[in-house]
Amino acid sequence: MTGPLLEVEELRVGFSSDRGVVQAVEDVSLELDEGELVCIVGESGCGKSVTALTIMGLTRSPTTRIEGSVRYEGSELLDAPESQLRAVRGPGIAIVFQEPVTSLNPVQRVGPQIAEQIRAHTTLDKAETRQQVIESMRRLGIPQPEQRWYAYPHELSGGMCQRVMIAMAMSCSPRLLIADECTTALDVTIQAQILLQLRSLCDDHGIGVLLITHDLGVVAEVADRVVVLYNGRVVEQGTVRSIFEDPQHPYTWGLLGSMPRLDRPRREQLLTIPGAPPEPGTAGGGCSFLARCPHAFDRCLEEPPLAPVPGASARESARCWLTPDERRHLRMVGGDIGLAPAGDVG
Amino acid sequence: MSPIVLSSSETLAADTPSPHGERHRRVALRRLLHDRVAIGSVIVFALIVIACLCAPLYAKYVAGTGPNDNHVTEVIRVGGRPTDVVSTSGIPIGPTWQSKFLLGADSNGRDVAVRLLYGGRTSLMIGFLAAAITLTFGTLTGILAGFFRGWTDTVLSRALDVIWAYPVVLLGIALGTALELGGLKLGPLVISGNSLFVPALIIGFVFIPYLARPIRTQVLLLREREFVAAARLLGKGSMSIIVSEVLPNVTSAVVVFVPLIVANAILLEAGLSYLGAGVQAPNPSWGTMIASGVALITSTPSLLFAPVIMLVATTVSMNLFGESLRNAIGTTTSMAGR
Amino acid sequence: MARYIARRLVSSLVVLFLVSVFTFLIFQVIPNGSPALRIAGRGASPATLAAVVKEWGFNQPIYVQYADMMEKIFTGSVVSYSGNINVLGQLRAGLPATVSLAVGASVIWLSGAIVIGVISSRRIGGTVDRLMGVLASVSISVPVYVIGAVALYFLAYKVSIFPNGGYVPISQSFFGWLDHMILPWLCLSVGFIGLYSRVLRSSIIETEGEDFVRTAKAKGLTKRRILVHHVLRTSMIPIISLWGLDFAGVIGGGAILIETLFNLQGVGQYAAESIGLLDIPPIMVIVMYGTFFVVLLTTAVDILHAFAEPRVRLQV
Repeated sequence: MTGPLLEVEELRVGFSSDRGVVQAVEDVSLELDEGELVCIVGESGCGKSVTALTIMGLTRSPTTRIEGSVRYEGSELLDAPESQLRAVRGPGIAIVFQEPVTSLNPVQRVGPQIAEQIRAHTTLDKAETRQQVIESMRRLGIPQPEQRWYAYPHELSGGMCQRVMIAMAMSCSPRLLIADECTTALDVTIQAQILLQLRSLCDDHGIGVLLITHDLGVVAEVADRVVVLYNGRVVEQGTVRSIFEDPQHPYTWGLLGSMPRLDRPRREQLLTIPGAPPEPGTAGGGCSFLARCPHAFDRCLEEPPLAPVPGASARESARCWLTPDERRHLRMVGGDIGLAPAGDVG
Repeated sequence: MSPIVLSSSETLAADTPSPHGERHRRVALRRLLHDRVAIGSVIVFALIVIACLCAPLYAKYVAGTGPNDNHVTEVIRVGGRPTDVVSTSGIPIGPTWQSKFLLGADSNGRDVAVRLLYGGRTSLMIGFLAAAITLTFGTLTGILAGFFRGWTDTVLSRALDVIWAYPVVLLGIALGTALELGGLKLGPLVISGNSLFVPALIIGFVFIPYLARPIRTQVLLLREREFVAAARLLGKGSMSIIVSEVLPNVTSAVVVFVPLIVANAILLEAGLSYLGAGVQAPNPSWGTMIASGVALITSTPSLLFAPVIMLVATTVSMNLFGESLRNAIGTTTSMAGR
Repeated sequence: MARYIARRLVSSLVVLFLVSVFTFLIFQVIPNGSPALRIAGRGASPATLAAVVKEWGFNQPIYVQYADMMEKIFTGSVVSYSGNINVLGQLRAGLPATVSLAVGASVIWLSGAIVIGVISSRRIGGTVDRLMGVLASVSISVPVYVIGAVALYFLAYKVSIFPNGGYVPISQSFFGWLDHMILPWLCLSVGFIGLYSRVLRSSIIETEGEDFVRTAKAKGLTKRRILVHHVLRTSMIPIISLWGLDFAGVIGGGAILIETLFNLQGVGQYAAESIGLLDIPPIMVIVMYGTFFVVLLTTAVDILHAFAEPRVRLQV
């Protein structure tokens, strides 16, 4: 199939509350091809989960305003009727959530829950469905799947539940898998296993994976490309190499610089990004990173567009008024990439 | 019987303890002030209370008679024509819309409007007193059981289970009839069977588990929260923790219950008095008036409708206010999907 | 699971015992004045009084009194002195009417509550929902005997659609039984429907915000499947517990007011009449049996609940 698997164009999502409309997503655009693993990175409240949920159509409600375009295999999803959306969920796009135990129905055994999805989209009978479920559980490394079929979610560990969720998501062979912070609630060893499984889904089965995380370590581990989100906007995107070796946006420098590294000499103090992440929907005029950026200058009072990085591939861009030369210079702090502490700036 | 409106302990336990604090209170208050239903019901309730408080004034200046004064053989002028207050076949007069016998008379020739207001005083007083008893002892028991756990919890919970096991009306009847003849004797304290304290105590007592159990569940959850652990590390004693950490957090749950308990107390009093196990004749109460009204529904429906309308207005306004209160306190943030 | 059942049974036995003690306290210990006089009734002769003192052991220590009272109540030998009638016999006679009332009404109120609860939850804050909310508040605020009285007045007295009270056993005539029960059923149900529909509505709203419902939507299931299979299955659970409690309460005599109004001659009406006469023995027996029934039924409902909600089995 030609063209990207998923295209998100100028997505805007706002929620109405007592205090007016809260814009959780201001302007997000991204593309994903089959067999590609794209990571969306950002702090809490930057709109990454809302983006993922909106792609699946799970934020639709009378109090939500969604604008822009989300196209899966070329067809528009945002204004698609419920029936079309339902047909896509499962066989087309599937999602795995952050909290596996609560994401499963507590009063139902796990086997039938996976089976339910298969039965909703195929015409297999009960016996065939059960076979398929047990097979996929086995493939995901769930031991003794025939017995585990009868388990209740609260009887399983977090890691096991997450495997069940993935088995459920993969049960209808989707072409796109969205993983929303799906390893955040698990311990590190399980996290590594699950990430490997996600990576193999891309490499061995050509499935597109959209992985949402706040952990740059995860990004370095499995991503092909990265999209950095800040305050509801994409502030930088590029290949994983270019993000780590040639980052273009001060926020990305801050993220990279604040990661403690074992392979570099220790600093006296960890570099942090000054200030605090903004509350969703508190957008002033100008660049959204203005308040925390030590390199801000007068042009920054006007919001920069997401501009392609000159000399790089088409899908690398950054939202910053600094020139590439300035960026290369300013991002070095004490020999490493980072965000200079405030007051340290020329 | 009028069903119990209070939510089961499951429903409340599902709520996480809500944050206490100035901002929360202000947001809730703002919501409440903008809720027209809430304002309306408070006004209606206030009017009823004021009217009932003015019962003696009405009796003296408007109707010229007391709640228990019989006028069976009297004759008054209605629309220019002399009419029997109570006809020879025992049928009392209906509403005259005059200052005397505004709403008519009952089979004993008593002024219905006067009795209505006095009865309201009785019913409201008992309702409030009972609610106060339930609130005090229910909260106390719930907090003690939830906070101290162990033996205290076991004993208190069993006690609550016992009271809870009785259907409300049955327990009310049991206590009401048992205490009717001789009154109540609690050690040196003796309360006469005719006193209004008896129904108030009974009703207050009966509702205690309906409040104590949800409070206990909330306190159990609160205990595990960080700020309690922090307070302990600071060396605060149990009592001090209860007062400074637990109580403020429990308050919002309790506040939501207040209108519900008041409404149910008033309803239960009416029910018990209707059956004869609550307020005793000749003391007026809406319940006793409804009882006599039901008997005479075919001849003088006003006898039934007057107390019914007052009772319904009171409890509906309380219940509607309770629902508005719940909505106001319930969620202070409402971000869909987050 | 077996452990949970065992624990539940033990705890209900404890409660039953405590209920018997408490009932004893209510009737014989707490009130002021002579217990014998209370039991014997207002117009008792000295001979009757002496007999009462002897039979109930009022000149014996308290625990003997307790034992005597339990023995009398549970061997069915309590006699009401005002008419010299065996209480248990009267109770048995009234049972069919009370059971008919409870069963019929509870079916109606459960189905009504489900329908209205689900409809209200579809559009929260919409006109239907707000209307149902107000109606519910009104229905739980109007005493059930008032609804009954008004209904009787308009539908039985003024216009003879329904009979003017009374009870016809089902063995005698099915349609007669139905005819006499419809009005009492509806009157009793109104308040419960009001309450239960609101509780269900809240429960549904809360469940719909849960993560697993979001997962169900993400699985591409139809709205109906999500509602019935996921949302309702979970949100109905608190309703079932409440229902058990109220059903037991009605049988235990809680529907006193309706029975009296409609002259159904059930257990509740027997209790009401005894109140009027201040005839304590029947009240004592009814309260004891009624509460015992409530405890047993709620234990059964809790155990059923544990089958439906597996996490409960871990609770103490």
